Amino acid sequence: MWWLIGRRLILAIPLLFIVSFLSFALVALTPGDPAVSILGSYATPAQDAALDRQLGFNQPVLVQYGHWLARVLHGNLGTSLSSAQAVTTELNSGLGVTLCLVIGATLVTAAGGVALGTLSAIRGGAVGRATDAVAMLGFAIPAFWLGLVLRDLFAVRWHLVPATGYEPFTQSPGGWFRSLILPVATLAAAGMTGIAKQTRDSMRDTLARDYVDALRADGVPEWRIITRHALRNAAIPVVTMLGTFFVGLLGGTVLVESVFALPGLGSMAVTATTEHDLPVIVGAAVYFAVGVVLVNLLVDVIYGWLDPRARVT
Amino acid sequence: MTALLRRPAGAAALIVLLLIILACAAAPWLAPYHPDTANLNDALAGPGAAHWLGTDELGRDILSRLLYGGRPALLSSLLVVAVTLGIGVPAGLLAGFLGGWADRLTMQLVDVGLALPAMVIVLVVLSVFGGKLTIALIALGILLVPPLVRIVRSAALAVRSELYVDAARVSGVPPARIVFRHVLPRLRGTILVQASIVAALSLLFTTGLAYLGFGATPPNPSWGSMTAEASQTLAQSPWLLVASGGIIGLTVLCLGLFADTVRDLTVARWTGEQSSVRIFAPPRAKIRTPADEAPAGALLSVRGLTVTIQQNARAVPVVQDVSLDIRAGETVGLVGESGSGKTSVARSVIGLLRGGARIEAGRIVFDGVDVTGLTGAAARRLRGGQIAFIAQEPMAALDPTCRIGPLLAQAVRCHQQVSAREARQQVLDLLRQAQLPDPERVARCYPHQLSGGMAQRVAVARALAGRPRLLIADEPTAALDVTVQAEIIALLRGLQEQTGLAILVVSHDWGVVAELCHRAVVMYAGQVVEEAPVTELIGAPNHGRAAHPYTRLLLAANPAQAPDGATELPVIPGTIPAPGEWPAACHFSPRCPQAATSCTVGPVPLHDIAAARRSRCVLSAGAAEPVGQP
Repeated sequence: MWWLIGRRLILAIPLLFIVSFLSFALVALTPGDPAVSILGSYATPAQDAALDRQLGFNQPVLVQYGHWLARVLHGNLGTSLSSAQAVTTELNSGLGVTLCLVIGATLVTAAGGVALGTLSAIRGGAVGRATDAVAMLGFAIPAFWLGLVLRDLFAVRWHLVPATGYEPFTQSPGGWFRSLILPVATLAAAGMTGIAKQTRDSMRDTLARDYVDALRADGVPEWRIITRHALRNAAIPVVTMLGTFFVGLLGGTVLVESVFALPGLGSMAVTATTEHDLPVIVGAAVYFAVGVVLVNLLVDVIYGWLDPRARVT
Repeated sequence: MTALLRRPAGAAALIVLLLIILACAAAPWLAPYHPDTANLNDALAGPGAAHWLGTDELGRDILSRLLYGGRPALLSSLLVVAVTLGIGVPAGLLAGFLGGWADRLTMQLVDVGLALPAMVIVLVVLSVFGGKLTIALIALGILLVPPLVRIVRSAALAVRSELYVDAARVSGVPPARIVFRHVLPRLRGTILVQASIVAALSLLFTTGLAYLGFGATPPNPSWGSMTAEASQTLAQSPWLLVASGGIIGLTVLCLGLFADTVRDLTVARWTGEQSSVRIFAPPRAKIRTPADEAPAGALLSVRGLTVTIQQNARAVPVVQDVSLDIRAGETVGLVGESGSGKTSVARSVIGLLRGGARIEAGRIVFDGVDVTGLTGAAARRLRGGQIAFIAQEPMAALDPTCRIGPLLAQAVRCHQQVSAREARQQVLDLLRQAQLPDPERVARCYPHQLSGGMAQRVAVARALAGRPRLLIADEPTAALDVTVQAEIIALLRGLQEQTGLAILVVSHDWGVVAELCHRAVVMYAGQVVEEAPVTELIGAPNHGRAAHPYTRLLLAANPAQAPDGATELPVIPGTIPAPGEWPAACHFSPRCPQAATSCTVGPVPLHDIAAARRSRCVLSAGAAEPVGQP
């Protein structure tokens, strides 16, 4: 078990390096002078050069990366070019929103998908075909489009929930919940059907195993076989899929935060992209990469808990 | 291709997809208006004769804009697919085919790549390159490579291990040629599936980017930016959103359906059609009950049992008119080659037939109660509580995620109202009874921590948990090595002597039957062919006493029964016929060295030949009365 976590942590180090270096190298490779894009076309060449020196843009890429990395290790991701705030301060303010969103969406996806998939595996027939059809629709509908439709129906037309914006939990738990319902539903919709399909296949496979028959031969009731034995075995491949699903979810938050005007990391990344605020966008990439690393770690822990065979070696 | 046309959903998806692509390609000729021609007098019109799909907030024709807007969207997808396949397919092929360090390095990179948050990286690229979409699309193509590599690699691995590839390698064909001539063609289906999925993903992705404002520059239409524009006028005209999102959804849906269909066609062809699993027992067939009654004193009595499976919409018998009795405390061996139907008989008794098999006719009476096709709570009380079943593979019968202690305690508590503590105590006693050393440690073990012999002892302990009166053991020693076999046989015999348990042993091994059983019932091709006390069949001088030629040959083919000094074991010529191909007359007649013309005339009934002995051979039929129905 610890070996497994250790291995994943070791794997995480190159991941973080690659993400940060990729982002960084891309920035360094930018055609044109960064100072020019910051100061605009009215600054003199001398002013540009001065800023380049000040920001270290005149040094070789690897040296710049080394400096940047040293600062990152001290928790300093640089300063936003547009707001002049520390990147960490700016991103941390959006972290809570994005965390609530992705954790909520993951929980809804996992619970709903597994329940739906199990039902479909046991009942088969029409329920199974319906799951297939809905899964295909969930795959085909663009997340932001679904968000727009949900927003229009539930917020604009029926006034059930606020259309946009976010209320922190500390200010109003009720408002917080209401502001998250639609974004979470939008994000969960696509993933849930995928998870349901995977659960269904995995559950069918599990229920055809010899040990399920052996449990029946023990006289164990069917519902107990499903809840106590089959579900746990069937969940093993599903958990792995949840990890991959989470990576996709991070992409989804970018769009969904834009649709619902939530001040999260995703909408910050979009704003930073339009404003060419490179430190912020690189910082956001690092935040997302750390998130992926943590989730993969969590997936491994759950995997080890579910499957005792994974705990050895 | 022709196979695809037989799947209506897949064929329809392909046709719609081609229509969309052709229509967008022919936009300059098909579009009724120029995509940018504004007409503010006609803004936000619904679908009508002048504008089939209505107009947007500037009065531009939606149909024309969708046709033109599909071009950047589809071309972007094409670019992404080209990049992804161009890198992913060779990388996956090489990793899978070369193996070794190349494979390990590739898979490490894939692991890292899978964890990259694609959307944010693409935003970084866009930000750096000042919104140049082409570069962002290439980046997206690269980001979609890792999952493709993984899939192509495992497909290549599967093909690599096949014989003809090995043969090509051994005969010195260069690796590159093997990959392109032999491996790549086999992966066509997989690659087509992945190409559709990548196309769908990139379509979704680019429309998402366009919605965020990183797409075609206005006024040039694109599906994504049209959705973004539609969201601005959502309150006035929801139709716009339906039209623009609908075309994206429709295209992605068709790509997905196409991918699913191709996958079903290609992957299923290689792995064999997945048999659909019936979770709950199929409805019980109307059971024809034979007239004769169970003899007094039988604990289990099977009468006229016929089991069928569905094959090409036809009920094919795998067990035909089998009758047998087991008295309390008796051990009966059910003997035959694989395919004789002996396991189906055993599974019928406990109501756990597999693979869609069902009881077509006959009656199973346990202790005077008809238990044929029992379901629900009554079946649960019977299983484990009255009749215990040990399946063939001791390890496969254990839930890999459940410790032995709780598993057995559950079995105990299914049949006795006892506390968890008392159940635990009983489990330890059971493990001790099954002669497992250190029961406390075994109870804490997961199945993968046990050896095969220990797993079989656990299976015996588990079978005893409900204090059954009959134990059915299906090939209890088949998966074990010889010394462990002897121990398990000794264990079962000891239990039988101590507890007076009745045992039905299903086996192909005369050695097991000789050691354990009082009586042997021999099955061939779904029928009982002979029944006799074991002492009258086994032991070299008794060979000739078997009444049925099949029993004689089966005995002679057994290594333990061969006469000393024999160098070659006789084999039975031919193979056991598959269900559905049984002759109407004596099932064994095509392989029987003694077959006469009288053997092929008609069905041969099972008849008494002596006290407690029956045979289904024409030649052994004296003046005795037939027993049971043919």
